[in-house]
Amino acid sequence: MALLQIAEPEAAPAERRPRAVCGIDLGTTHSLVALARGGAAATLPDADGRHRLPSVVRYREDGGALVGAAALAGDPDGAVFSVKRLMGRGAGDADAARYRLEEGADAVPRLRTAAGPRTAMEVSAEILRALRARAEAALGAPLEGVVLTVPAYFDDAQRQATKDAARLAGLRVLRLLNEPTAAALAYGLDRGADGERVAVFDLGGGTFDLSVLRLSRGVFEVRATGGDTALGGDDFDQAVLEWALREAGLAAPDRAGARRLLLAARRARESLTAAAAAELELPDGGALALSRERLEELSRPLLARILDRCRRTLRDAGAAPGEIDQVVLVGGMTRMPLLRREVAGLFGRAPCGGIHPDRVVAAGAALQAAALAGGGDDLLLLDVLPLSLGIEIMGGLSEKIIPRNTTVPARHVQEFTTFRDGQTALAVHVVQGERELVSDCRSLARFELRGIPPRAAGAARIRVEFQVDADGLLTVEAAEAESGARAGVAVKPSYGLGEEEIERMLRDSLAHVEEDAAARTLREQRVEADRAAAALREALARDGELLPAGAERARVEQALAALERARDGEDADAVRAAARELEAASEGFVERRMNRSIRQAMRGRRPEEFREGTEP
Amino acid sequence: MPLELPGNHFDLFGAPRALELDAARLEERYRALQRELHPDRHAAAGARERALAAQAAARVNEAYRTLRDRLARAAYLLELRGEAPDAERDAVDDPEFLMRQMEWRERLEELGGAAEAAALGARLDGEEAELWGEFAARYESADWAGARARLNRLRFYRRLQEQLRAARPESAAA
Repeated sequence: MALLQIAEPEAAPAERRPRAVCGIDLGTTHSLVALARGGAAATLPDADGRHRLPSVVRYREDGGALVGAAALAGDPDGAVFSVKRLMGRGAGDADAARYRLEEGADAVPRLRTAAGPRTAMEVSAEILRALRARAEAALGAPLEGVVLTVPAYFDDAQRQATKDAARLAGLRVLRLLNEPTAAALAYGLDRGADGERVAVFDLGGGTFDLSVLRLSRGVFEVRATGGDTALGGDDFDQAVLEWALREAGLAAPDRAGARRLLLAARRARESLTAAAAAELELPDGGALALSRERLEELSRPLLARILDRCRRTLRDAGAAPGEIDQVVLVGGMTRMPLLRREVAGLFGRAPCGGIHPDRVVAAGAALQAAALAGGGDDLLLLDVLPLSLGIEIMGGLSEKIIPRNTTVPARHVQEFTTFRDGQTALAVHVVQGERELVSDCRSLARFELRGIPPRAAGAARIRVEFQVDADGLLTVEAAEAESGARAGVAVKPSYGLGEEEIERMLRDSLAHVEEDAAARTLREQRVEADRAAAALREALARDGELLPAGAERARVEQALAALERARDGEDADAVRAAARELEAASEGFVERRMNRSIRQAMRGRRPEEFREGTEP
Repeated sequence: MPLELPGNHFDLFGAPRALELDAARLEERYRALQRELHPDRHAAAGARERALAAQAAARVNEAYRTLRDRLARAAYLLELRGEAPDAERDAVDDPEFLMRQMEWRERLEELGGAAEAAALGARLDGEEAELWGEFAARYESADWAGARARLNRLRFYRRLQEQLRAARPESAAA
């Protein structure tokens, strides 16, 4: 049997190498990847020096895909734009109307592409693969993990869809991070004065959100977050487009023409940040003059909606606009002079800037990835649930089980009972949103509790535990209270992908990648095996006495040695199986370590230290 | 659950089972607990450890949510005594309070300028403070029914305060 090499505790930090991790901002119009080195983060450019990768994917008939600038060339109708808006959405959603979708009863919309139908998750995975390649080229090593950013206002289905896309791209997600939080991290606002309140105003291509963060003793807490997942820079372009058509007396162009006109509108809008007038090319070959005043006039109704959302979020945070200490602007749209004036007017202070507003989110994500992988940083982010979770009750009403702005991870236990004699199954419908009617909320999942022991109506007690993790994602467990029998929970995400479907997509996607699929799977399993082995060695170095010599330790050591043998072999399935055995063998040790953490956190706490004091 | 967490929120925070708690100390302990237990502190670990961390952190969050809010804390104290408040049961037989509720609601609906809102807020604060005094006295003397009734009224005042806060920005803008 191989002997464990256990490092001296004081020698452990020297062994900690910088891990191959990065931060990714998966944006509606552009995406970026950043690396953190020595406490500073920088976004990575492509070979042509461009940092922003257009979030555009063009499929070829052979199933391959062009991503970014390469996908922009050619017929706009043959490319997928702004796919982020479709993430976690159903075919019946208003946003879906913007896309060329396959007909069908499927809840998950499929985009029509040259390579056949593709879901939003698959398209996003193409963008992630391109960024992954960029990061791995810069690192010279396979990526071990990423921090992916999402709008603070993303609901569970949208977050899950983002995570699924990462999985399809072969990425291990260390954490989903809210974009405004990432921006604040990039600005180093986590090192600000205690109690400072920061408002992050993030206007991206397709989404808007305002988050109020509060800093306390090195802990960043999201106090409230609010916004609109269907309001962004694209809407400003759409307003310009509609004006241009009215002004020129043109009929609505076809989809391809509209796409070209939108791109022209965006260029004109962007140039008006510095210039007083711009020219807008029309589909009929003509041109229109667009003045900054006209753009501002067209923008005002959208800005009014945005500012209204800001006021509401501030109210949720219990903060008056004047009580905000820092205002951070994120997204290229925030360069617009009118917007800066309006935001400054609302808060009564000039927003801070200095960092490229397009790169700030990816940079913050990279810093967080480094902190999570290294474990040495004292940074701890506390996040909140952006939208209330509820379950459907009688009359089509939603009963809130975890209210919005609850700090996550969060847990809620609800007891259900049967209403018919001998009933053995129960259907539960989970929704997300603030409205009272289930039909006005977003359907997240439906599941059935099966195997309830048949009893008289109202006699069975089914305990359902809803757990929201640090990424804001929901999992459900259920058990019959008396018998302790675990009820089977089959969660069917309303707009998400099932496990089998993800597996199938993984296989399909690998078929088109240049690299050999088996080699790639093996490489990924090795990265995962090395990570698991390193984590266990570090745990043993710190808390080895919690695994004293004996049968349990022998099993762990055997499993570790077996994993290291398997990772040097060529069989990906063997590596996976060995990793599972190690996880199972070390379960007791892991639990004892966690309980030691709990004891440590509670050590020396005495009730006498509390004196009578003032109320919050 | 294999986690050895104290079942009682106060014990988890090492706090006395009291109506009045030092908010700053509570917060300090909350952060100390999360620094050890939050899943982000275990991001590099295996799936089992991360799941345990999520469970522990959720429990700490739940305890903090209960303890930091005086209304939730008071209800929890009653619950620990086996006297959990029940909004429906505790609301009956109080015609005088029902009248007062209607009066308050009317005032809120007819709210004029910001000055009136401020005056109303001050009156609410005063009556709320008085009720808290009554609650504490009933609680100390183990008059559980009396304590529950006061808590029920305090919940109504909380809603009134929220409505007033929500109404204020509009009235200021008008």
